[in-house]
Amino acid sequence: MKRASKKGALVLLTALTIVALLLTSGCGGGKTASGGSGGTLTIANVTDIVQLDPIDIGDAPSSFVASQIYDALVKRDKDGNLIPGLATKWTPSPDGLTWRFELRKNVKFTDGEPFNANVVKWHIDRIQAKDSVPRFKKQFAVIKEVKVIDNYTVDFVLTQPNAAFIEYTLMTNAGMIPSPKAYKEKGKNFAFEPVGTGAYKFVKWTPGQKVELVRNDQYWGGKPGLDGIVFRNIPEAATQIVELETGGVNYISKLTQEDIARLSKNPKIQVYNVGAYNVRYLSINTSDPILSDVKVREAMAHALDFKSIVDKMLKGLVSPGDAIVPNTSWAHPAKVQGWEYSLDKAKALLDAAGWKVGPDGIRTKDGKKLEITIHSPNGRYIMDKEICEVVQQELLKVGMKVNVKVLEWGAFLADVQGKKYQMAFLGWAQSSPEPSLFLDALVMTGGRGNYTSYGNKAVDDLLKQAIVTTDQAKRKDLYGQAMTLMDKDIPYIYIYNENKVVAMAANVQGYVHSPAMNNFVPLWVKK
Amino acid sequence: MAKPEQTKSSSPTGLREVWRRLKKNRGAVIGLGIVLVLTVIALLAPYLTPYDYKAQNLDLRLLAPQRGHWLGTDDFGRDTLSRIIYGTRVSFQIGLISVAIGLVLGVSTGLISGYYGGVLDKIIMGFTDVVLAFPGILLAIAVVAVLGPGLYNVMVAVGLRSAPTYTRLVRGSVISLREKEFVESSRAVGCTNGRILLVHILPNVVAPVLVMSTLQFATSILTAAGLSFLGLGAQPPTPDWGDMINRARVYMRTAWWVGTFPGVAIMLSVLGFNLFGDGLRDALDPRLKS
Amino acid sequence: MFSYAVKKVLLAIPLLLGVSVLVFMMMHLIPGDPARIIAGPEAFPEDVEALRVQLGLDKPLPVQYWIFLSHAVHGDFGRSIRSTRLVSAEIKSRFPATVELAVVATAVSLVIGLISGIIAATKQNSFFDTASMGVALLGISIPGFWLGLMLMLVFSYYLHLLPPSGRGGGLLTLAGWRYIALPALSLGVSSAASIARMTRSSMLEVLRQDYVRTARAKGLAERVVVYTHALKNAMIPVVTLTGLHLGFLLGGAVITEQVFAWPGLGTLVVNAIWSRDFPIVQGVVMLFATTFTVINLLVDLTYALFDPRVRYE
Repeated sequence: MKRASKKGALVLLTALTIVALLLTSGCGGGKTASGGSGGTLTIANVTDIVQLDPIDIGDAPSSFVASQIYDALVKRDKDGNLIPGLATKWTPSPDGLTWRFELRKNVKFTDGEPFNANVVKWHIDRIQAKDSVPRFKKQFAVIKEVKVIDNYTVDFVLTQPNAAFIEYTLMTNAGMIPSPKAYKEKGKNFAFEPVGTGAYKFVKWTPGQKVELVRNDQYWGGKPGLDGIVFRNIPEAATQIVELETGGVNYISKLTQEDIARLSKNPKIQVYNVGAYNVRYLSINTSDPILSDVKVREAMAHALDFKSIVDKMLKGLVSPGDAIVPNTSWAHPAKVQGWEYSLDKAKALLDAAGWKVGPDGIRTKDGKKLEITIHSPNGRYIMDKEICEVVQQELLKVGMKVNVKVLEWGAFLADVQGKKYQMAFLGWAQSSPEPSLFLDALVMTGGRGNYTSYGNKAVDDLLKQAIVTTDQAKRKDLYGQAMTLMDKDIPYIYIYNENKVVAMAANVQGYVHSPAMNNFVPLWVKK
Repeated sequence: MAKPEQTKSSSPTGLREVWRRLKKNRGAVIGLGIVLVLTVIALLAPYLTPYDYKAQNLDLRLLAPQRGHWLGTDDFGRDTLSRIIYGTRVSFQIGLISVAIGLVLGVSTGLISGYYGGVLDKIIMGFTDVVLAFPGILLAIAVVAVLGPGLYNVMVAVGLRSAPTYTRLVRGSVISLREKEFVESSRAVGCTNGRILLVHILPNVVAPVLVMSTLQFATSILTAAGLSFLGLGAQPPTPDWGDMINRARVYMRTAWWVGTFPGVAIMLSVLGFNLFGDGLRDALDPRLKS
Repeated sequence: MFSYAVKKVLLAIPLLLGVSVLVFMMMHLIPGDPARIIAGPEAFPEDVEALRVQLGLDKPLPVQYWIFLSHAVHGDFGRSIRSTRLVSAEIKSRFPATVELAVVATAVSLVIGLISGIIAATKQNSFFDTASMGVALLGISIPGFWLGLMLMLVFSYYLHLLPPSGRGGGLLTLAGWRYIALPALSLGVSSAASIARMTRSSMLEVLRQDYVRTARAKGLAERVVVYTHALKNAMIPVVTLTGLHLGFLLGGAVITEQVFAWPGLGTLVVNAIWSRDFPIVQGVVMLFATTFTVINLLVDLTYALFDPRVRYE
């Protein structure tokens, strides 16, 4: 993408601008909640927050809480489109190097500090400062300079044209803007007493227990409906359910398919379910002596009927995976590779690869057993180790012995990122359906999420072409070609796309379920 | 912690006497019964299971107890009864191996520490103090984290954790024995230290160590279950009771049987070993029984 | 007695030093790179490397240990590498919950254990004896987490009597007691069981001693004999055991905390192990080891209360 042709990038930028302008005219942020107000939303979080300084947030629970306290320049609507946040309008310059943002006026942080162009500059400078936390530095390194044009206009001068500037940089956690006054006053404590412009303001954090927020009556997007939000830390799924059913919380997100079936019958509970922007797959280390043979990989693809496995174990929680982009993405191809479930084909392929069935039913070649180990995280992805256990049994049917190695996340990452693995249950999640966020990271040679050792120049070329192409239909076609080529080499076997599932007390009103955002402004609780 | 006067209790009459007392203790007999039954199940597990403990059938997920699947099925459609039966073997492995690790480490260090005394004693006791001051479950978690998850590493962790208790127990007994007449006389006759330790002292600490091992067997199963609860235990498809409960947690509200029966299995076997261990202690140390 | 206590405290220094070496070594032996874990899988390699340098993880291990130790002797355990919060602040915000739970659980177990143990001993071989000892045996045979989940189902879900999880506002409020009831009970049951068993056997032993017989022979009421003479002397092993349990519980009730979402040190330290947050783990373990040592000392000193014959050299 960096080496993309300049001309193509410019066309894309112009197109994006038009889209942005159209959106700006159509939407002016949240309106005052209709229907009612009051009540507290009590959310069960699986882990406690780590800290709440946006530039160092790397975990989902902290990000979830922070997104209620702070605003970014740009937000998303429920379909994932970019809409105005603290900025009302944005335009790239013709050469694509300078992005002009017009800022929302009369916005105040909850400590009374006004929001303006200087605040934006201060925030970006802080991220880029030499001694600052390096969590998002790489993403913000594309900004060469922030120029304050006037009180409500800033220019971002980039090091090179970047079509995905907003997605890659401003939509990260570090894109949320805190109050400079509070930050300067509190120093390191700011991370635990945050101040933003968001719909709800921070009241108190009780470590290990809960974070309490209260309504921000001065919120620029209209008066939020809820009196407040409490994020409770409840690690145990079983406990979360009991809490929901006994009224201790009214929002949980850790469920099994049996829970969904049961809770759906409960008139006091409402289950929300929507496809989200993630993919879960078996990542295959193609440099492994056994798995470097594409026939073996194809045999596995034929032997694993994930569609039916997932249908039986995770109904309503996931949708079967069939591509490296989520099926919620516009780039999801109409026709996917799809390997027919056929044990005979799998066996034939293994035979052809020279793996002959031995006396114990396990195949061998040159005295070596067809035995591989699959790395599984422990509950990071829904039912991950259970799926691996099914894989173990299914591959045994074609004469492959599989060991499942369940590791805690840290040790798992060390093995996978160090390429000390053969096959692993892995996932990739983004907050947008933009296909390049998936393909460039997972499929491109040396991509930052590509642990398969796979690389294909033809595929890389297609991806580089696609990012600078403007026409969405054309992009879709290019990505489709890239995926078709890549799928022939099978570095990945797709398992499922996790849905975003939430069970809420039925008296919580005004909730819009979306994979792209958590907008709690219109919510209220009916007495 | 005055140690009882131990004479050589391993003589035939001593054994017979112990057995007689054991038989009179109802709890001990029940405990022994449970232990024996479980042992038989563990040994014959492959012949007793109605189904293959690892045979999945996703069409039969989470069946309630019924004819054919007397204890229901788990989330892979595997027969819970078969897994519990086979799990007996796994639990016995956990108990035996972790007790053996603790026993070998603890008894040898305890013997050396108690018999030789001096600097060696100081070092060993210093080390056991450190291990004991380290919160037990954290030590076990750390050991498993270092070695990687898996049943055998859990056994090592549990064994290491119990070793210092053996060390202290044995050391105490040895110190009280060291100055006893029969040890003095062996020394006078010219026995080597090694011989004195193994032939004269070791048999005299067998009784308390045996009692403790029986109780430790029970503790090991519980600790291992706790580690499994934290996701550090058996690797699939090993049917470990602790791991079975661990996975059943999410079905607590929808399929109670998945976790309940392995829980009962743990409880029964731990109970058996505790009862037997208690009885054994009473039988070996008759002062407590009138 | 005073000099005995001083001697014990001095002896604790090499012990704590040993613990510090052990915990430091352990943490660094666990595979997995803290910088990578903290940065997350979607991070760019450049940022991970910068983070590693910023955290001082690129320095040789002995240097890292020295830095840790030289700060630790001043009570400074540094900042959490994950949250950048002071380790002391992190501990301070959670230690009260841990102490609260440990103390209440121990109190529960002591009350149940002592009462049933004494009755069982005085009415040896009665129905109560057999029944209570049977229950006690079951009590120490149940996996704690399983018991916890069952208690939650019964008392919260079906009976709606108690909140399923979380912590109330401390023990001065009714809410505080309502929240602590279930976790304290599920922790206390197994301790109660072993205390009951220990009390019973210790009482039985004492009741057979000469001086108790003498007391009886002198015609003292059975109640006086049991509750003044015998009980006092039977307490020593019970105190040891209770101290052991308290020390164990103050070392973090990891599993119970997780089940009941109790905001104590146990969950903190386990999560810190998983995220390789070395300063937190080191700080908390050192605290645990210190608490453990203090409790041992207190137990030693309590002996004198129960048995005047005990003298400290």
